Amino acid sequence: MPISYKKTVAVLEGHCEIEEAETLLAWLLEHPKGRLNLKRLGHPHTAVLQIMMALRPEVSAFPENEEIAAWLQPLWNEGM
Amino acid sequence: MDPMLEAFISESRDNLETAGRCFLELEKCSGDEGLLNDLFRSVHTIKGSSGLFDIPVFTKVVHAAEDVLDSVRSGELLMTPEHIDMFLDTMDQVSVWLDDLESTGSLGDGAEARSQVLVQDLRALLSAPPTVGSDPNVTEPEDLSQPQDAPDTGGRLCTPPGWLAAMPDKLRLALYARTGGESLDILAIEYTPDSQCFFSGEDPLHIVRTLPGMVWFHIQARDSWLEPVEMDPYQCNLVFHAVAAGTDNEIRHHLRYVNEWVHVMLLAPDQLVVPEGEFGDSEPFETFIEESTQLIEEGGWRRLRQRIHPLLEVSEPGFLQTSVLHWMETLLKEDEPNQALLESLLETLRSGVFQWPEEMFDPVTQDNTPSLVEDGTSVSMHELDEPRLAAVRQALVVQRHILSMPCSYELLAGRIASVAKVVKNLLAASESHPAGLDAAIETALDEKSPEPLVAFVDDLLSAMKPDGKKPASGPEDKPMQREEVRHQDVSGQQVGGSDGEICPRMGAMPKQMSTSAGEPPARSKTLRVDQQRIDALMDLVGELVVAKNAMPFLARRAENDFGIRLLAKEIKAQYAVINRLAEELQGAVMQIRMIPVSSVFQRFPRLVRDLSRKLGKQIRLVLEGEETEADKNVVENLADPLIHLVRNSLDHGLETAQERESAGKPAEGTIILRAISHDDQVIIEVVDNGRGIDPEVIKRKAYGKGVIDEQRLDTITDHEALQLIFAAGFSTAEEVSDLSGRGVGMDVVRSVVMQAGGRVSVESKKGEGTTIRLSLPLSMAVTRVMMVEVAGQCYGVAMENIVETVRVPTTDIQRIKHNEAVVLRDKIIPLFYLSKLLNLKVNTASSGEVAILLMKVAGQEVGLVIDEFHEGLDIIQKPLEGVLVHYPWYAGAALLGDGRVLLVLNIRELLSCR
Repeated sequence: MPISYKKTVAVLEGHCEIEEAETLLAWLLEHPKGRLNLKRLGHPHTAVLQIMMALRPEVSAFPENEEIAAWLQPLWNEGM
Repeated sequence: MDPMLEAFISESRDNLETAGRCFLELEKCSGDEGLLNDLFRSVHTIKGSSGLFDIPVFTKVVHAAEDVLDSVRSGELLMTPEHIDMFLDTMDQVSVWLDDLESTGSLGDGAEARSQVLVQDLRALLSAPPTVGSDPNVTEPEDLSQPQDAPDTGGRLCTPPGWLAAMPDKLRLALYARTGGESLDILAIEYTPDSQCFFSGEDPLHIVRTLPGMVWFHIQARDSWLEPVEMDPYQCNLVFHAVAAGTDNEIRHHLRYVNEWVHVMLLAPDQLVVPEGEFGDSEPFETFIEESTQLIEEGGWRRLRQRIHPLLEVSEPGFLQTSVLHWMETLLKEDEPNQALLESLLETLRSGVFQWPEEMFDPVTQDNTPSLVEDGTSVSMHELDEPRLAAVRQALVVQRHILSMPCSYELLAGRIASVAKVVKNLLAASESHPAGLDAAIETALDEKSPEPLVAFVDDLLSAMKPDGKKPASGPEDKPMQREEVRHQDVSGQQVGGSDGEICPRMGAMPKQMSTSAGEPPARSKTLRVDQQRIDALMDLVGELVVAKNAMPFLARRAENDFGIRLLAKEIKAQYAVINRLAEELQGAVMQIRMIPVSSVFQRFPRLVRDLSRKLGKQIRLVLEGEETEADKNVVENLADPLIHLVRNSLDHGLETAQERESAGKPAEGTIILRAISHDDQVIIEVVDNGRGIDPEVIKRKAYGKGVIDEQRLDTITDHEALQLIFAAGFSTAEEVSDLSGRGVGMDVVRSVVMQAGGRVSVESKKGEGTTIRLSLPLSMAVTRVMMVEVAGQCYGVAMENIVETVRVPTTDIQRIKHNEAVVLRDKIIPLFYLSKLLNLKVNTASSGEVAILLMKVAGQEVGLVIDEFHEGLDIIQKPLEGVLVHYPWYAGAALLGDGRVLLVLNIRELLSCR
């Protein structure tokens, strides 16, 4: 499972395919205060990214991978 | 060939035809929305389907055409005859590509280059100043107008996109530094994925991340996000902006599958120069500015560099000034620094606003270049002289108008950017730098709404009135107009948010949407079937007819050979039923093959338009009876002869406007193309009201060219003389023109029509016009022939040529020199022996009587001596194949009910090769 859902944190790891988008959305709707752990995120499918951008949940850890962090982190900083 | 490609080609051809027709109609009534929509739809369909195949250059051209049409439809562009010319050229090219695709499966050499030229030309239309909607009195002053931000695929230097400023300064600086050493193409990519793209397995983020030479990218929501509960995770609502450095080809190749959603722009390194940051205290820089102005003018680059260095050490990051200094430093590393750009940067230090020097993008004459460095203080507009001020004001009004026009989502960003550019230039030209423009542009782009910019322009306009007079669109009507803009914007957003690709376009035509919403669109019940299948069906019907014809033989045998009369009777009764069914089936299949002649007529408006322009004549084409139907083969056979005939009428028949007026006729000549169905024939007439044909001239010419002899010259009637124009090697044109008059045209027409089993004739009155009439069989599938017997063999002779059948006593046959003839009803009929013509053994047994088949061949009656007449019958005539192809005196062959093969004679050929 690329996304494992804990009590308050969803951990995204590796490649998150489009199939994950709907479950992630559902989880975030259910847990409005839920946080995302993106530490080991490899590549989110555009649909998954879109969910993150739209709902902007709190991120507990940004990706370790610098390349990803470089474009992902600003998305949380600016007024999307 | 791939069946999908096949379908695409045939469908696209139909769509091209529709498009061509629409263009010509549009020329007459340019505003017709229905036509525009038809046109747009057909081009859109071609584009859409072409995406299925690996022909990106093709798609690009059609896409460009579609974009232009879209802006025509939304009223941003006015269609002129020149535009239509260009579109027609484009359509021609597309049609050529379709042919190439069909024959070779690829687009052929040079397609890429051709495509680029076409795309550039088409896109140039989009970037031309808008012509619709602006008050004709309010024109943009030429010296101030700027070519607007055109989507550029050709690699021309154009205004860099506004979002480039979002790229961190550091990255841009680094990228700029890289360009010094290597040869890099810097591409600005704007990728707006189709909202449905996830369903086709696309992952836009992946495409962007894996771009070759990816430097930086940025993701934005296209429309504001819906409430999380309402969100559809499978609709893409993102826009990607990316900058990549590598080779142009490689990057474009990477994007080939999403080609139509991507907008790639080639950037010059200098276009990366956008200082960013907060405008800090400018005091510490004042001395520097003063010194540097001097240094830049003199070109003292080394000293300037030395000045910058210590300053950079003390300035803090995050300020605009620091960024400017960094850029100046970077620029100065080059051997030949861009002086204008440095001046602009220096100006930024002074004013806090950066703009690219104008000459970077447009060759503007010196006096129009804003004097950015002359004077530090900004000049208010009031100090400008009145005419210039008026010009600026007018231009602003136009820009404001452009902003308030409804517009689809895709166009909006581009429009805002281009208006922003013009406004910036206007302000620069009027030497005024009111604050807030950049902010307004930014908000406009972010919110995807033109309103902030409109507000800014409005403020400018009201500020510009010198003595407090109201601007052109006074404040009393201003709120209302603004309201209107907001309203349009909102509707645009709603529609845009709901359903990606198509909806924003529909937003541009809400009227039709609402009218057609009530009734569901009529669904076309047309089946597209390969012609071969119909032909196969026709063959089967033919065989059924043949099999059916065997039943009377069977009945006869039952009665005669086996002596069972009752059975014979029953067989005959069954035969009657099967006969009826077979005939109905045959009729039904033939009906399938029928197509309206309009499919041939359609191409003539274009032909007449092009040729009349070329010849400088005023010609009106009238089409009548386009709905008349005939067999597909017949209609297709018609095309070439008709083109010859119409060209002839255009070239020789119709006079020039002056000639016509001096002859007392209306200046505009008319050509009528008429189809009438008459019994089992379809008659096509080409009628012109031109100068007509003088039979005397024809007679003399024909005599001079040896077409007729002296004797015939004396006896020939005017009507007969006219028919001579169809004779081989006959042309009355004094000079051979580009169009016709090579002396082959009419002859070719006749032979083609003859081959199709038709006839052609001409009527003309000198000074009044000419009518050429083609009559063709409605269907070529079933032929009625008469069986004749000669030397023990049966042959078929087409019934339509037979005048009568007679038996004449041998004594009535007379000899005229070495020809035999017979006098029938006071007419001399030359006689020919079919047995001799076919080189068969002559039947010497004379019964004292000969059977003569009286036929009309090439307008003359001739008698064909045969042995015996047989019954007439319907046959499905097949062309001869294989070795028999080379025997032109056989028109074809058919299978008889008892299994025999019947050869059908082509009497005309037979007589001519006697």
